[in-house]
Amino acid sequence: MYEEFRQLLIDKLEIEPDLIKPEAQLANDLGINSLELADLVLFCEDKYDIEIDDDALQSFITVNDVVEYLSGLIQKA
Amino acid sequence: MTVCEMNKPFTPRDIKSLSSTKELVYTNAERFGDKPLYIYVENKEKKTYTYNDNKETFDAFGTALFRLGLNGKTVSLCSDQHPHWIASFLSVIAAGGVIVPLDRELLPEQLAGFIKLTESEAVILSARELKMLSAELSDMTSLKHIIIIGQDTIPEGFDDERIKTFTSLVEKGKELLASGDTGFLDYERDNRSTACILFTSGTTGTSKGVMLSEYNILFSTVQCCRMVANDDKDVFVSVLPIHHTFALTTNHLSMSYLGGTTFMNDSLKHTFKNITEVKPTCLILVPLFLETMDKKIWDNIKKQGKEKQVKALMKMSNAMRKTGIDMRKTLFEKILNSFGGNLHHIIVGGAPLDPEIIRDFDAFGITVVEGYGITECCPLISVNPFSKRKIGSAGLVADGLEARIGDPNELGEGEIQVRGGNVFTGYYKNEEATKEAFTDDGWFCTGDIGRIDKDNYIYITGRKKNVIIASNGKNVYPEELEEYLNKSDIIKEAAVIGRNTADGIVITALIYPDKDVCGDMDDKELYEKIFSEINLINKGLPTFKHITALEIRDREFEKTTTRKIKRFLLK
Repeated sequence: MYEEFRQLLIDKLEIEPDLIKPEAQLANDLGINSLELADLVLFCEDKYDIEIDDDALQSFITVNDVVEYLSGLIQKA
Repeated sequence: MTVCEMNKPFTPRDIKSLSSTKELVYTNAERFGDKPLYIYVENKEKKTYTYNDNKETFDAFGTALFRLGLNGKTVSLCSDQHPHWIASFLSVIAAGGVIVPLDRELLPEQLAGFIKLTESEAVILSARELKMLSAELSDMTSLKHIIIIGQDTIPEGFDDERIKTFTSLVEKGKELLASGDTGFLDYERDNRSTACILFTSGTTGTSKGVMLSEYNILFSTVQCCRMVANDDKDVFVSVLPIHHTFALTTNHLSMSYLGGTTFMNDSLKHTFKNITEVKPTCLILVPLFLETMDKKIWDNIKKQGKEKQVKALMKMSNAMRKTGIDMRKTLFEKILNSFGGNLHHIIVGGAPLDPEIIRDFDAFGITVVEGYGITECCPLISVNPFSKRKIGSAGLVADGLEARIGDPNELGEGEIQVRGGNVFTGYYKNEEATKEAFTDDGWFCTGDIGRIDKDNYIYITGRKKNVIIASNGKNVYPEELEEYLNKSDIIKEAAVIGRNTADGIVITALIYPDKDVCGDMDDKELYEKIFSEINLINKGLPTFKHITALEIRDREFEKTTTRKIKRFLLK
């Protein structure tokens, strides 16, 4: 999942690959704002056929937070 | 560079003043009847709410409020945007009460704190907020009624007899009206008394409650209508939080008075999809949206390897426009279609916007008009008229409002002070702050530094207050974040600033650690330990309030005689 999400960050938001690490902070280290994150989350919903709660967006601080959340949802699906 | 687009001075439109929310709702229903006021999504289903529906709901809910004994009482309101949010807001005011719109991003204890602080006798909320408050409800004994909006049934697992649904009250109100109950219909409130309290930040300890009268709210609503170029053909997608005065007054109240139709965005995730599908003619946004949209446009152009080509087209199109030929709809059709194809202009406020982005949008065929406001002014202070913009300016001082510069320097810059019908009545239970906010001769001190040109356009150049303005237009109060930081054992003193960087404003914590607690940690360990504490704090906060940088200092902060950190020394 991590590798897939990493590739998404590179392809969709053009994030410098070297900056992306599991512990990298979405806003601070990667410069991703809430709207970009929401757009990315929508893309993930379509791609993995899952539904991500709006409130969960607020709890995503690091790359790993998103990866863990997505993995959990995909396993349940 | 400042571009003044026409030589004649701007004349505000002739729009009739309003004296009550009842007049607003009734006039709108008379003029626009069965036209959709809102299109919204409930249980994944698109629904329509007309101007007549709004009047019917307003009358019925207001009547039910009277029957519940809530006329003249304080009522808190917290939910995502929904037509019944607006109906509640208007009905509580018309019933002589005080409405307290609260941010749904508050933590449960903060939400409960504001409900208690304002001595609210009722709270109107959606199922999500009810669940958030579930642990607090038993302690909230002064709360007599809990009203659920957004669904017709009481959420499962709640057997509190205070809970009822908004729709059941509307039905009850309709029955009462049919049986001749005219208590609400006949009631006339004093429109100069406090009708609404809006809190400026997340905690009851650091927040100030801005008290607005019905007169303030309607003055600002009409003022906005006079300054903008919108009409009943306009379609909006509302994406900003409804409890903010910018969205509330500009989008929901003013645009309803002009007869517009608003699609209520159902999720931040669906923003771009909804804009493409709904095909709005106008959007009311904060800079964050335009910055993201601009970046998306250019990322796509770059991916297609067409950057040079598009820039050349923009130059050519701009030159042609000067000769009166406008080819933008054809040249930039793809870009315009990503906004639905009908988007004519964007009203932006809440934070400063890079003029380059305004020029980009202009070149593509979408006019961006910037405005400036503050909650205490409900919020409109100035806006660039559509036909007479000055790019780089925060706009022309709104009709009916006076603005001046207090104690100007040699460049004419000083604190922006205003006076007029939209200026608030004071801060809730805070006479000291109210006194500080006004000059001896009655002008409100905005705390923003700027100048006013000969044409009465405002230019903002700085800020006197501590508040950090995030690019989504929301205010971040350092005191609130410091309150959280100071709870950590390892932090002896904390100050939060908005550091200006090439990437924008970065919320930065300046920390003086408690040396007794950190013991023999090395610098790296200490940094990681404090940042882990910050991350814990961030987890409980909305993204725009996240502290994203940390600087550790080895000396205490310099303080005033009253032991307050000297903020002006912080860099």
